[in-house]
Amino acid sequence: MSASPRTTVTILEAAAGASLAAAFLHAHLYTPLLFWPLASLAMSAAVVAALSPLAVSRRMTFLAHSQGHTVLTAALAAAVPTAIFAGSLASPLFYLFTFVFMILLNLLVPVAEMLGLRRDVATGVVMSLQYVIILALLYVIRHFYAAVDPLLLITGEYVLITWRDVSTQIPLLLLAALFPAAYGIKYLYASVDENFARAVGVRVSTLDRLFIVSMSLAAAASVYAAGSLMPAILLVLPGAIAARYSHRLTEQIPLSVSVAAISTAVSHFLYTALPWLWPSAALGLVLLAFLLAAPRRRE
Amino acid sequence: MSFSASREFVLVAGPNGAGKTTLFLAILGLLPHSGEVCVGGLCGGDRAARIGYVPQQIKTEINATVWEYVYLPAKFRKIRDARKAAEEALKTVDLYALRDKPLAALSGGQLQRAAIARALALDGDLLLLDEPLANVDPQGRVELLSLLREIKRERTVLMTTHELTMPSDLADKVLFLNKRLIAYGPPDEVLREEVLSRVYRYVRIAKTPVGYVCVTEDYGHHP
Repeated sequence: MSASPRTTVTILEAAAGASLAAAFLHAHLYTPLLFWPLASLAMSAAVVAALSPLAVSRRMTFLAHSQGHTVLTAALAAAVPTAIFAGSLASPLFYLFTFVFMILLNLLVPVAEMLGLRRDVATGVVMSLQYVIILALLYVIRHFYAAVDPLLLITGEYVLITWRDVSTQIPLLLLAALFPAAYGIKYLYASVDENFARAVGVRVSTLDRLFIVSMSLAAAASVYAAGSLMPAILLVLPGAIAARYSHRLTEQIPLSVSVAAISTAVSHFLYTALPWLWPSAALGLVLLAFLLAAPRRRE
Repeated sequence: MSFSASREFVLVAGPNGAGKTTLFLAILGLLPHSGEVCVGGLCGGDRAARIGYVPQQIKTEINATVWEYVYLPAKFRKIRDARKAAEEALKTVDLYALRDKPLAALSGGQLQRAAIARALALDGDLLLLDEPLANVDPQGRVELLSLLREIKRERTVLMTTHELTMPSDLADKVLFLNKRLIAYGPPDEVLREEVLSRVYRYVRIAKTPVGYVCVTEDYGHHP
């Protein structure tokens, strides 16, 4: 006999709390150096995953897919002024520049749409442009700022994360979490029926812009710890997995956060067992396994 | 164009591209327009609060239950006791038992009834139905027409349709559109050859004891 959707949700939420508690206890007792990195990754994963159901809704699917390119481009672009003004990527300036560049790059999509391109084509055009920028920035960083390792911008500085990094992340992530907490359900409903949502007073265009700001903020806050590709994965997979576990609109965000929390905890154990595996890679693998194990959508 | 309706069922008819959906979006305040649209005495942007809207296409790709589909907009619009309003609306359209089902599990007719329940839960003075009979099988059509007869007693209803075959007791008025208002009035006055010829090329209408029946001429005679 299979569990009902509500039971599944309750089980997943309980499992999220239990597995994270176990991971933190393990880190505290056996791998203290990984305690703050785990805290940083868990917070980042939870907040980005809260945005995930909104990103994979039909309103923002193309934008969500393009975030891998956007975050990497923004992080590489942010590394240059950060290296000039602060020297180290651990500086809050890096978060600020990454956020600003993410906003600018995401706004390029609606700008390209204004040129008459369909949203999917506009996203593709901006992604192509980002490839060019990535190549140019890799050359600039290697040539002029040898102290900055571009690989660490992709994989994240996980093991070097300290309490100071976490304290820099917290306000940014809290700000990013405001949008899904306050407007998540309204924004998801706009995907079900945009005209109707507008007719009952939901300001869909304003929410679109707030979503982009919130997503950019969450990704920028996560880059230093999780690398530039992980936020994009966290923007897509938890929401896609949540959609398989429940057909309730109101359960998508809590489920997505639970999935991210469980995956973060499991990836912690995986990383400590297999230290050659990057934590962000371990998280990605766990999320993929979660997706493959998830039931097909119930109807 | 200019027309008014009060507690009447108005059938809005016209060919594809005549402006039926555009008219609805303008009434809802979702399209810029000149002139004035007033609903229940409200003529500004706040008139949308008096309108319930049933769209032509109902998306089922996004996860949502029938209950969420009906209840959440009433909650967004801060309807007093939104939960009770949603419950009553679902009972009216006979979908209360299916409230926990995902939208994707509903048939075409049930989806239309869910959309009508969503509009009813908003407790508006005006109900806009955009081709609710499209994509509905004959059984669903009979159920929907019966539901519409019940609904029209308490509010003004505007319903777009391509179908002119209608029971005579349903529509109080017919509004013919073809980029502009062609005719507006009771069916007996409007459903005439002279009016139809200004809207459709090969369509004739016949009145039977049970209603109006649309007759299409043989295409072979009109290359």
